[in-house]
Amino acid sequence: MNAWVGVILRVDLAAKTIEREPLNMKDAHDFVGARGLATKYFCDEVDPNVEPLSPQNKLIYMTGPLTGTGAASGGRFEVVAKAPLTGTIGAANAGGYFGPELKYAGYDGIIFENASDKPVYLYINDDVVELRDAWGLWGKSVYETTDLLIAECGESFKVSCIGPTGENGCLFSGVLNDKHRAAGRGGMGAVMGSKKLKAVAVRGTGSVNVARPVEFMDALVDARQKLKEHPVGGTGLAVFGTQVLVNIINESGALPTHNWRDGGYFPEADATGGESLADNYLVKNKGCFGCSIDCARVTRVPDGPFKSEGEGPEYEAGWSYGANCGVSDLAAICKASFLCNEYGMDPITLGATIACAMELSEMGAIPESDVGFKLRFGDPHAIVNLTEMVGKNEGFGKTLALGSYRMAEMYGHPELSMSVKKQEMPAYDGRAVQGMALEYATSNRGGCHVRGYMTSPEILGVPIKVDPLVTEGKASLLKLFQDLTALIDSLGVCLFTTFGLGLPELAAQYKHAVGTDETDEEILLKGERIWNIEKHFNIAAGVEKDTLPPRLLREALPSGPAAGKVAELHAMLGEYYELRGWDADGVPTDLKNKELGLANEA
Amino acid sequence: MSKQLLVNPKICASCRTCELMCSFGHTGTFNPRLSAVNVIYYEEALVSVPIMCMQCEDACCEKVCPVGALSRDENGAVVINDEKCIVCKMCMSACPLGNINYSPILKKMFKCDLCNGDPKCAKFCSPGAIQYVDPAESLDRKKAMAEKLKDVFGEEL
Amino acid sequence: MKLKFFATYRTIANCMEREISAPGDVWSLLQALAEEYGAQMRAKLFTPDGGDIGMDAIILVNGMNVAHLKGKSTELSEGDTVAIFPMVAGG
Repeated sequence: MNAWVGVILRVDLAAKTIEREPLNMKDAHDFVGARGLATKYFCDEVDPNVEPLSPQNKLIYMTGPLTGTGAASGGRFEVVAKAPLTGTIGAANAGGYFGPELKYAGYDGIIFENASDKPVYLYINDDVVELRDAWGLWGKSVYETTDLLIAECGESFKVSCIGPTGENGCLFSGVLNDKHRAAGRGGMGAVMGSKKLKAVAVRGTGSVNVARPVEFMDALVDARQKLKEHPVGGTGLAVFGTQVLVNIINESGALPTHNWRDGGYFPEADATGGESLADNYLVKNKGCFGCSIDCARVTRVPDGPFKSEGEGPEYEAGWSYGANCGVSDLAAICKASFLCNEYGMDPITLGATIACAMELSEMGAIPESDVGFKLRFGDPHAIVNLTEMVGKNEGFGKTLALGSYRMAEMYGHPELSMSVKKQEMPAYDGRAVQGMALEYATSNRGGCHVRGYMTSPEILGVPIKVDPLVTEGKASLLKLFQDLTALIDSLGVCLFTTFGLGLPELAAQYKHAVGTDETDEEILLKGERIWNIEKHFNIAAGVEKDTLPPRLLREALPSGPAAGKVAELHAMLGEYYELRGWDADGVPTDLKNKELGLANEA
Repeated sequence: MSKQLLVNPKICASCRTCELMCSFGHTGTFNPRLSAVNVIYYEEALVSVPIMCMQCEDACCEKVCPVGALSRDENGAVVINDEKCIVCKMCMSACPLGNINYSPILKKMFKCDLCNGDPKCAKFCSPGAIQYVDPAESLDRKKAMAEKLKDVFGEEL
Repeated sequence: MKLKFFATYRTIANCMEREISAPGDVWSLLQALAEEYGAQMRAKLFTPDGGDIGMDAIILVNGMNVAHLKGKSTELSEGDTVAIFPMVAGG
């Protein structure tokens, strides 16, 4: 078996049975692995109208063909379920060490079915696979759970788990592994919690083989070399981390401030940027398994009211708690972000939900008595305290745990939730970066930046420089980015490899790992197939149409390079559907389904 | 003078690429448990230490081997001759650093052999935490210390 | 006009931002900076042949990338803000 180990674990949490079944190699071929393959399994087995937090939803862990190989940054895996936050297909990707370890234990993926009646965790020690009692872990934080499991199972075990927010059904709780790496978005943690599954602990001693070792070695040497030589993949991310983006996005007038109300420039942004983080709180860099980029940062706020330590914050979290809440205290941002990891939740959605609550409070739409204190933009204590309250499921935290859309709807202003398909958009204003507007609107998992990162060409100039303010040409570029991203997520490598690698380098590693002679175009087509199967699921699940919050479509930016601009979605969406081979309502045509071999999915 | 592997735990990012490349170079498969180098991460101390055979001049493993299966090659590496080795594991017990390994999968002993003078761990170490250098020529650490002394005393001039 | 340095440029220049009198265009500004800060700055600002803005330099004039203005010939006047970044990323 090349690149795969060839075995899927199927765990019925109600019946407490564990079956081993051969990996469906045809699907592995057609849907690559990880995100694509898990989605294919999911769509084949689950009713799209399933209630996300019911036992009938399934939760799938899946590695990719390059996971655990020496491929550049090849340490990733995917967690797939129907997402409770959005009602879309939920697919969340994570790095760290857990994914490769699962493969070394002899499993390409795990399918969890039904729900347990009491808390359990899955113990995997090579061939020994057991559901074990997790009463002692229930209610524990991600850090505590990980430490307790390592103490119980052994120090070489890798742990993926939920925090208390996953147990409490917080709609944006994530599944975290190796303490700090998160399959973060859409509420995969709540699905896991609804199944009373607290964790998976794995230790593996097996090997992963590749089809053509000599050629694979050449391909990975080439890929690693190119990544190393690229200014971003080589040294850029290692020195300042992802938080370095704060200043360039801000200077480009695209950093959303105060729940996207006050334009794209935050005067105090520099104090929250990667330069400031490196100067004040950075302890050292870390890398995920097999990665040379080393973007992770171990950070410590040594003293003061926000004394804390952890990993991060990453750019999106730094923005959601920073500029979006009007907060310029980097120590508070660090602490709030660390708390998200500890309690196991998505800081993008939580920071954005707090920002939305701040706006609603300032308007008087949320009474002070509901929150428990006077909530205003710019309050560093508020972001930390509210994060703590969501983590502990206390007071107003219970409302915030619903995400901004449901909260804003409760208070009569759903239009002020800055979300797409009920998931909060991240840190790039679509009015100043038009391609991102189209990306948010069409993302298969709701508001998200990692489904087709148009900021890269539009602001950073990688791989080509494209004017962020125009709409021409964005649809075709976005389609390419979305398909390529689906491929990368499915290979089991990190999306950051695009800062140095293109399709040829990625495809070469894939080809020699699995032993195929397909062309690069045929391999990219698999990405398109994955994008389309996700779309089919969303259509069948009755997900709302592709659009943006009214604020982006109607309220022009007040200043900066994009002054006077709104998100010109209408100018791009039709062209995008046409390029995708979809009809005017965004439904894939029979012709497209046939081309992709998805006629049965429609 | 043969070259020597030197490690710098301060900059190791614990990505464990060295483990992957070591196992692939020697067995043709990716398996950190078949790697002669291992990265040990100390979470509290925030340090990761890559650890591998230091090719002792006075090598206990070589001395203890009852069948003379261990010898020094032209790169200065102590290497195991699998033909002679009876897998008695005495070398494992003898090594004061714990750097001789036994693989239950391969049913044989393995250790760092410096990859015939081109160690993959150092070659693929992105932050440069593992370096393959000539100890006689390597002035890096001395220079770093000299630099500090210069900073301290230089200002007084 | 205002000149702002970010990330590695901030490290090289050892300066966050300062006021300068506007040179004619972006090209003259970059030449002046290379002159002032030396070889490391020059290597990052320019292509190896010295003929164009380098791959590792993102120059924004009033928030707009000069690549979408008039490139190195983009005029500068008092009141403008120039921000200089290396190629960075995140997300």
